[in-house]
Amino acid sequence: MVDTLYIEQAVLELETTAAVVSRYPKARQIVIDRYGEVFNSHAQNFRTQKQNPSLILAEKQNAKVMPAPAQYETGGGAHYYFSHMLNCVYDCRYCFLQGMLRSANYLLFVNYQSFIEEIKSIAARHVDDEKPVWFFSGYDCDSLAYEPVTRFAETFVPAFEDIPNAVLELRTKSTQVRSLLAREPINNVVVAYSLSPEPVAAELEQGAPTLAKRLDALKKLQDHGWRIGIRFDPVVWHAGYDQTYAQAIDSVFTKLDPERIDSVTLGGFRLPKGFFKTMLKLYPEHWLFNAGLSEQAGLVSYQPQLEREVLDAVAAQCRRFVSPDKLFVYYSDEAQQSQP
Amino acid sequence: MSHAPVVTMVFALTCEARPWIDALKLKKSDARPFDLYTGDSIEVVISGIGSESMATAVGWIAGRSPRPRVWLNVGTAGHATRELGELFLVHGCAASESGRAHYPPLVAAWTGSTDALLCVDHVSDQYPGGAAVDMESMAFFNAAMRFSNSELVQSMKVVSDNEQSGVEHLNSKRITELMQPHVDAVMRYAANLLSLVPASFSVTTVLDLESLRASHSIKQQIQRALHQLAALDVDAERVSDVLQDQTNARDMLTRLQALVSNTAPMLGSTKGVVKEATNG
Repeated sequence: MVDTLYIEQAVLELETTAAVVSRYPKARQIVIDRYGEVFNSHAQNFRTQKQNPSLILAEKQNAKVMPAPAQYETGGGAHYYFSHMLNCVYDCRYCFLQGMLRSANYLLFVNYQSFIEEIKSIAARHVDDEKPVWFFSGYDCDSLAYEPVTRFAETFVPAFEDIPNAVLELRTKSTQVRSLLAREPINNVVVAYSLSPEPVAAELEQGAPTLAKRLDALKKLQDHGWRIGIRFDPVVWHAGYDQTYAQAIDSVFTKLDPERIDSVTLGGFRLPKGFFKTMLKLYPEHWLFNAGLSEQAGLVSYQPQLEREVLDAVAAQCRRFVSPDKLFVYYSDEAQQSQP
Repeated sequence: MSHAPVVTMVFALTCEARPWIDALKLKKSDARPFDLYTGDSIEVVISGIGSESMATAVGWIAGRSPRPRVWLNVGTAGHATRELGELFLVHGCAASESGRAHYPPLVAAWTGSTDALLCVDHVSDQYPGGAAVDMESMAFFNAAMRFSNSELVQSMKVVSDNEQSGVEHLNSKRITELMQPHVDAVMRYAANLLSLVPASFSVTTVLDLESLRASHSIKQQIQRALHQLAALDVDAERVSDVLQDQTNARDMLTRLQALVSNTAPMLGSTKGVVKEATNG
């Protein structure tokens, strides 16, 4: 439960602000000029703040939609990402946000219409492209986990009905799919679930739904007609990982119809060096930051041979169920080679 | 020397601190130049009035020991409309009405009032709208945040004067009376702050790095490998076995790094359970 709301002066009158504030009638409200005064101030500790994050309501100024890194392509055309929110209600130990952001407070940009206008404007520039332009949501937050408060999907999904040459990918671990099940699916929205085997999720994904619950939500979405994606990213190396992942993959693809899955992506645990150093300082005792890693060209990832061994083993398990054209494996050393 | 975290309370005046000194039976230290009172996991410093005194006192007490600290500035403040004797937690602090504000992260549980605070250079009978006024808070935050994370640096104020009362009624005795009722609430908050201090992670000593003949870089890498093995719950005994009969630092490093590479973490384990290098 959020007990402190920081609200930018500029968004005090917005409808979305009022709707969010009404969810927290007992929270103290502190009016601020710009979110950076709270979110970016120095000497903050992400781990400490994660024990009781506040919610900041702000206006996103300047560019709202950014080009996405090439390695995140899943067979689409041009690809972009946008973040209506920074930080997440879950506490996943591997999450890069712990290394990227100074604050663990939830920062929600409530000027949704400005985002939608910019998305439409970018899509218009790609109207003659052979393939649709992709917009990824959920890099810097979970797209659905805070849905009862933010109404993000409820607002953005209908907007994509009017942008037929664009695809919206919602990345999530959440079971908050009520708004999606309450409406007709549209073909240019993909709901991509980050999945981990149950023992990995239990140890590394605090607060997130269990694998079984995520699969229940996925099944409902697939049965309802939504396009779905599967993300095993990061794949986490541990003793007996091949069996752990084999069991998880069996349960995923026996529960869901593999023929109607949009894409499956795999990637090892990896972080930019600067993020890794920050996260190691926050959690020096955690095995995740101390097992099997090496640094190459500014990226900390599993040692190349180990990463290939692990990803190849998990990919082989996936190929038992999905066709090769739907499976995308990201090797850290190849990503580095492909960097300009 | 103890490395247990301590609550460091900084007051401008002894009359503000008196209720805590008496209630917690704190002992006055011989230390100089600031008055210092200590007890179990608590220390009270009297800084004197004004920013310079406050910043100096914070630096002085921080330099006395490297113990992890939570910092709590407690004192009096003026406010246009709040009742005399009201206690509040500071949720924002600025050195001027147009200046950049500091917002202390409100992570520790506190169900009482909060308010903004304007920090001024001299005693004033002007009360700005929507904020309390004091003379030390900004210096306190700026100085203490050099030694602890901002979540652990907080300020609480008791209203000593308002537009109706003015400052003429204030004297030492009256200030102590205003502070007296808040000892328990402040200490409960201090305990909540203390609970936020992360547990420290230490690596069992299996090697005297200081006496090792090796370059600084090699020593650092050995230190890192020992850290990794501790995080992977490899027994110190096992690490000692690997280093047995090794006198060359480079050979030690090679062996330690091989042990790290060959140790796969085991999920759901408790301390001391790891599995060797099966990669699945």
